[in-house]
Parts: sequence; structure tokens; C-alpha cells
Amino acid sequence: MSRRSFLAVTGTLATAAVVPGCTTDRGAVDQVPREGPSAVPQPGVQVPEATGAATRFLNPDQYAILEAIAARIIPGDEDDPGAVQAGCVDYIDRLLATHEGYPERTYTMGPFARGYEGDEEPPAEDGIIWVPADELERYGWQAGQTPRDLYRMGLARFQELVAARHAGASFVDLSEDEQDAILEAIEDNEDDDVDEIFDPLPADTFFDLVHGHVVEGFLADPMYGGNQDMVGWRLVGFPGAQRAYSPEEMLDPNFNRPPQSLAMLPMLHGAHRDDTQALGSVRRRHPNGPID
Amino acid sequence: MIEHPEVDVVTVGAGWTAGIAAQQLTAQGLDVVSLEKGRAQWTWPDFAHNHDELRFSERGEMLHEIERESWTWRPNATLPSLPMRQYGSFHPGSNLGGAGAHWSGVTWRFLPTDFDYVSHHTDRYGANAFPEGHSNQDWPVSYMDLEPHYTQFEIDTGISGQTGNLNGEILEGGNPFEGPRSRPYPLPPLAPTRGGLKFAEAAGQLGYSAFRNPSGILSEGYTDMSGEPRAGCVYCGFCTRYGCHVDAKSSALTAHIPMALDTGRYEIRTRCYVKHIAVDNTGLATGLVYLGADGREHFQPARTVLVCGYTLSNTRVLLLSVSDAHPNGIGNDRQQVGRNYTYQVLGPMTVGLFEGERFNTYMGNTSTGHAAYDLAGDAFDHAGLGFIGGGQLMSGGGERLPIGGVQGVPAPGGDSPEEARAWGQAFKDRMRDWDSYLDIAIQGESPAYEFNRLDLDPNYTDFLGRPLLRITFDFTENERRMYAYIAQRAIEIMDVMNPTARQDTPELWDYNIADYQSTHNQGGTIFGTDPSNSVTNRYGQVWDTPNVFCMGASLFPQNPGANPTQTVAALAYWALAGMREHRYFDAPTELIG
Repeated sequence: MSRRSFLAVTGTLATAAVVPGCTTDRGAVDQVPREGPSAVPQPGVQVPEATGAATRFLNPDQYAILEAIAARIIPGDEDDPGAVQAGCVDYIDRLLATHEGYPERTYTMGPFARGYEGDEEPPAEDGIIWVPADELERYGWQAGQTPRDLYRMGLARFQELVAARHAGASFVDLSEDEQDAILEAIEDNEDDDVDEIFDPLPADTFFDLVHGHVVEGFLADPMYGGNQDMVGWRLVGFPGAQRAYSPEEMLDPNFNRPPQSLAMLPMLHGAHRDDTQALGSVRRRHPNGPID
Repeated sequence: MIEHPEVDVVTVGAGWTAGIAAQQLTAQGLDVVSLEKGRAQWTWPDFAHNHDELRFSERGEMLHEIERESWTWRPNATLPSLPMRQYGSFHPGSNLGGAGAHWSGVTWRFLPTDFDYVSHHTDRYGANAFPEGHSNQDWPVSYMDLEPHYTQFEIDTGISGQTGNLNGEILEGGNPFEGPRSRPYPLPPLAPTRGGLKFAEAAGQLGYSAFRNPSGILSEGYTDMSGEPRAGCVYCGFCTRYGCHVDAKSSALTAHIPMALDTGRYEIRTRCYVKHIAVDNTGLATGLVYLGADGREHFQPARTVLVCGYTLSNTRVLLLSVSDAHPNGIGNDRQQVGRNYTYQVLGPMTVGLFEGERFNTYMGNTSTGHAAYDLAGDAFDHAGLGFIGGGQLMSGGGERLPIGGVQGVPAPGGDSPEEARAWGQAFKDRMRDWDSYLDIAIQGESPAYEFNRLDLDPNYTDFLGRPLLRITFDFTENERRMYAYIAQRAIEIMDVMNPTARQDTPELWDYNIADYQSTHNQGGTIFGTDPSNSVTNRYGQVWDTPNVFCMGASLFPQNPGANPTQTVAALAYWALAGMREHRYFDAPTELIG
């Protein structure tokens, strides 16, 4: 089962109305004001330009905690860069600054699903479709919250869990082993205290969201703010955006080409366009074609 | 409501089948309008600079706008249906060219026995061979009916491949199980990959015949039916879910649509969302009602309506076209719409890690891999096996990209929690091996059943407040047995390939709509021999509304274990030839046959 389908357990989340964490009694993160237009998920990825300014969505504490989490997901140092050196949290911060941070095109209309244990379906309730808990994973992403909501809620609960287990300490103060133990606990979501503190947000949903974004920040094109100096691509040996490979290169076990980002890829226009048209390879926008 | 002047033909959508129809019908002097819900897109300039995994593979830039109109699913009628909120199982397209602009290009003809499915299996194994509750039926066309149209499509668009059966003569290096071809492929196969060759060698040692995938991607420069040359594949590695920046990938955008536009008799209106087919008081279609790009409601009158959307859209537009004459929707006077929805068994059965080897899997595309048909269809004796159907084996395709690819690396240390978890130092070490693994995947048949079907959802709506299409579907015991049998054969081949670690999926999973499997949804408006077993006749003409035709995989009565595109295209050629031969446009309200 892929990690993506792991997100299915968010089916146990219902609308914001039944999520007490959206009130103000859950700590600072939940109090981050909602900003920007109400969520209309957009196709593609529209990330604000880097300005060198401080963070856009995360406050400094949240940034530090996420960076510490990212450092455990893809560890590294200057000699062998990992998520921190790649700027994965900058990527996440910039993503969240856009359109409620929608990571994917999302159908957002209710009613929303909640899982139930046992044989008996709970009584009918407006806006809720009850599904046996062990079937929910098959239905995929069912959350009604935006990614911004999930980061706000998840980070607050995460801080609460760490404080409860380590006498008020913050995640950034823990040893690596202690940090890993916390991450294992939220990834598995099987401990009672995790369940209780995160409820009704499944802790593994939060873990999966952060994990997915860290991997994206490490391996997506650098123009999105992560994968700085293409350290992720260098680690895995991916040449990035290339126009072409030859049949001989496909068979070469020692093939190696330095990576380049989309920003470094020459455009197919101007002189290039003429070249490719000579090869018969590029169609013009059709003169009678539709325009929109 | 804005009413436009009447045209001869209006199409729902502007993808593969609408493009083919527009090219052929405008050449006959007819006026055609296509209504496309997405936007315009062309090789130049739209695909020129799109090598971006995050935007296209992960975020689905070219996919249908699921945020406006999704689908709901339930495993069976006892469980609730929920919407697909983010993309999972399948990837219908949007925009000019439809899913045919972002397809992988793998181009199969179906096997001759896929067409006479029920009679063939009954003859060979007896009527009891079929699983309980099945609703399979013979196709109303044979392989030989379609053969000239398969061939025409291959020549018109430029298909690459190695011929296996030329007029009954089995040729070395091709697929020995394919039906007889009247002409060889116009182009040689695409360049092979290291992984594909490794698979083919191991499969060969065990007696299987692996061959290079046929493909709608040009292996060399080719001048297609439009008279315009197109470049051969440059193996850049950005193919499925991307438009091709050098026009090597065949789609309606490359020849059919430009040719139709050149006649001056074709108009495409983008950002137009079709709501329903309008009918007169006798029940015949009068045109399409749609939401225009201007946000207003429009009516496009037409003598004939072609329903050319994606499989799932075709079924939904018929069901939403409710009138006094057709209270259950068009084509549904006998409750046939939504029947025989099928979906392929598709996924990796075994993954091998080859530490220290690099396969350059980020180059090339799916079509650069190899396939073996020895366990597909009825190519092997099923007596005593307890299932019908089969699946092809596939391996060695390219276009692996890193965000998706690093998740698939098997853990060499086995199942210890530290090794298996997708984070930490072990995960980082495994990421370095992202180009060192190969899988052997199955693409298997999906028989039709009474309980797997499509209808309208009672709870969820699109952005206009109209019901979403509901899918009721799950795999059954027959497919579980088929999968388990073929998975063992795949594991045997993987062992011969001698990986340093192996991760198997020996049992078929419960179907889920969360994981991407394939965009091979089929059925729902199936064609057949009479109104009691189908929605349309053998030309896609709707029985109860004969000036409406359906095109696409929604016509397939059940689902062979192969990518559907070439059969979708060949059926469009077949239907248009039928209209010509029967002089349909002289009397567009009469059934042809």
C-alpha cells in the first residue's frame, strides 16, 4: 500500500464544525488567523517568489519544529545534505502561503465521512456519512480541512504531545532518539495518549502530510523553494529537466549528466523554435484554433 | 439561454474520438462543433516547457477538474458511497485532446478472442467456466471487422512496434499471440531499456515470449495523415500526464483536429461544460445544452449528437439527459445505462532491487518497456485453474520520476520496522537506490458482473448542483485466482533476474479508489446486438435515440487486459465508416445496421 493511501484515515475527520481543535483552546497554532480567500483549490502549483524575507505562513517556533521533524525524515549535514540543507521547510512555508496551501486538486463539498467501530452504525446525523472504520482507507482522502487547517491543528497537538511526554520540553530540545520515538508514535498512531491528544485529527494524517511535503521539497524542481542547489537530485542521481536522451544513453549503465532545473532548460522559441521546426517537431498554435 | 445556429454534428468533448470524427465528417462536407470543458492546448507553446514532476505528475495539471466534478465510489451496494476528493485510482483528462494528450502511448489491438468472449470460453471450457453473477457478453463486432480500422489508425497517426503476426505468419520478435495483421506497423519499436531487456532475457529462459511494446509514440520522424512531419521520440522521460514537447506522441491534437480546423467547417468551443442532451417531444435529440465560458447557458442545436467524453462522462451525460420522452435518461429506456462497468487489474506483482546497478529508468517512457502475452486472454489452457481471463506481464518501462519513484524502492533489509519505514537514515540510503529496482506488473482482465455498475449518486453533486456519477465496483474471487496464478509466474521470472532483494505482492488487493492503478475505466454505455442487452447498436448508435452516438471505451462490454486507446480509436473509425456506408446523414434519425 502506498503512503498516499495512508491518507485515507483522514476519513475519520468530519467538517470543521465537529473539530474542537479549531476553537482557541488548543494553543497558539490554532489561533493563526485564517487569511486569504476561502479555499478554491487551484490546478498546478503556484508558489510565491522567494524574497529572502522571513516566513510567510509559519511562525518561528513552528518553523523550527518542522525543520527538526524534516531533519529526522531525511537526515543530513553539509557533506551529505538532507531535508534541512535542501530547504524543505522553506518549500512548505511557501506552499502554505498560497490558496489555503492546497497540495492537490480537491473536491470539497459535503457531506463528510466518519468511521465507526463495531457492527452498529451510529444514529443518523446531518452532514455525516458513517462508514465502517476498517473500510475507510479504501476511499482515499476524505478530509474537509485545508492543508493550512491541518498544519495549524497538527502542530499544536504535536507540541502538546511532546510537552506531555517530556515535562514541558519542545521537540527541538529532544535527543535524536527521543525525536524518533515521537515520530514513530504519531506515524503509527496506536498509543492512547497520541490518540487522545490528536483527536479527532488522526496523528498519522499529520505525519503523512508533513512527510509528503518534505519529500516534495527535497525532490521537486528548485524553483519551488526546496531542493536547493539541486541537492536532492544529486543524492538520487536524477538529471532533472532535460530535453532529450539518446537510445545509447538509455542503455549506458554508467550514464551521468549534471542535473538542471526547469529554469535552466532552454526555451523552444526564438532561434530554438526555428531549429525545431526545421526538424518538423513543433506545431504552431493553430490559426483557426480555439483561444481562451 | 443563448441559441446558436444548427449544425450537422455536435460533440461532447474534444479528445481522441471527437477529433477523429471531426476530421472525417468535415472531410465529407459536414459542419461540426465540439464543446470542450477544458481549455485549449497545443504542442506549441503549451507543452514546450513542461518537464515538472510536481506540477504535472503530482498535481495533475492536465487532469479533469475534480474540484468541479468528481465521482463517488463504494465497494458494493451495502456500503456508502464517498467522493474521490483527490486523484487516486484513475486520471481522466481535460483540455483539448482530452486524456489522449497525456496518455502513455501504449497501443494494443485486442486479441481476437476478446471479441467473441462468451462464445469462445463456452466452446473451450463449457458454460460453467464463468464466475457467479457475471454479465459478460460477446462484442457485436469481431476482430476481423475492426482489423482494417486498426490498420488505418496505425498508418494515419504513426504507430511504432514489432509485428508478430502478418496475415497469419508468426514473425520473430513480435507478439506471437496477436491477431493477424493485414500490414506491419508503419514504424519500428521504440528504443529498448536496460530493464526491459533484462526482463525479456529472464522471461525467455522460462519459455515466455517477451517483446517490445507497441506505441503511439513515433520511434522515428514520420509524416502522418495530415502531411506534416513529426519528430521521433527524444526519450526525455516526461510522458504520461505530460503533453509531448516534440509532437512525437500521437493524439487528436497532432493530425485529426488541425485537419478538421483547416476545412473551415469545424469549431471548438473551450471552457464549455455540457449539461445534457436536449430532446424533442418524440424523444429525438435536438442538440446540447451547456454552460459557456461566459458563465451563461447556451443551446447548440444539431442534427446528430456524438457523445465523445471520457468513459465515465459518457454514462453520466446520458443519465442526466432526463425528459418526458426518456424519464430515466437517454439510452436508458430499458435500464441498460451503467451496466458492465469494468476496471483493469493493474499493478506490480513483484519488485526486485539490484544493488549497484543503474537502469536509467527516468529516461524513455512506459512504451520503451517489454511485455509478454503468454498469460494474457486465453493464450494458455485454463482447464482446472478455477478462473477465466488473464493478464499481460509488463516490465522495464521508463519515465520514473523521483518524488514518486523514491517511494517504490524495496527495503533490502526485509521487514524490520527501521528498514521498512519511509523516513530516517535507512530511507535516505534507500532513496539513492531509486534507479536500481525493476518490477514486473500485470495488466489483467476485468470481467463484467451484475453488481459492478454506474448510476447517479444520491448525496454528492458537481459545482452546478447536479448528481455525481456513482461507481459500484470491487474485484471478485475470479480475479483473485487469476492474479495469484500469474503473480507466481512473475516471481519465478524475477528470481531468474537475480535481484539482491525482492518484495512481492502475491495476492490481489481489495480494490480501492485511493491508489493510482490505471485510467482504463470501461463500460457503462455498452454496445450490443439488440436493445435488451445494450445501450447502442454495433456502431455506437443509441437504440432509443438514434441520432445520438456514443464513442469511446464506454462501449466495451467487458475489459480485456490491455490499454484501450487503439480500440477506442478503431471503433470510432468503424462507426464513422458505418455511417458513411449506410448513408446515415441522409436520414439521421434512423437506425443503421
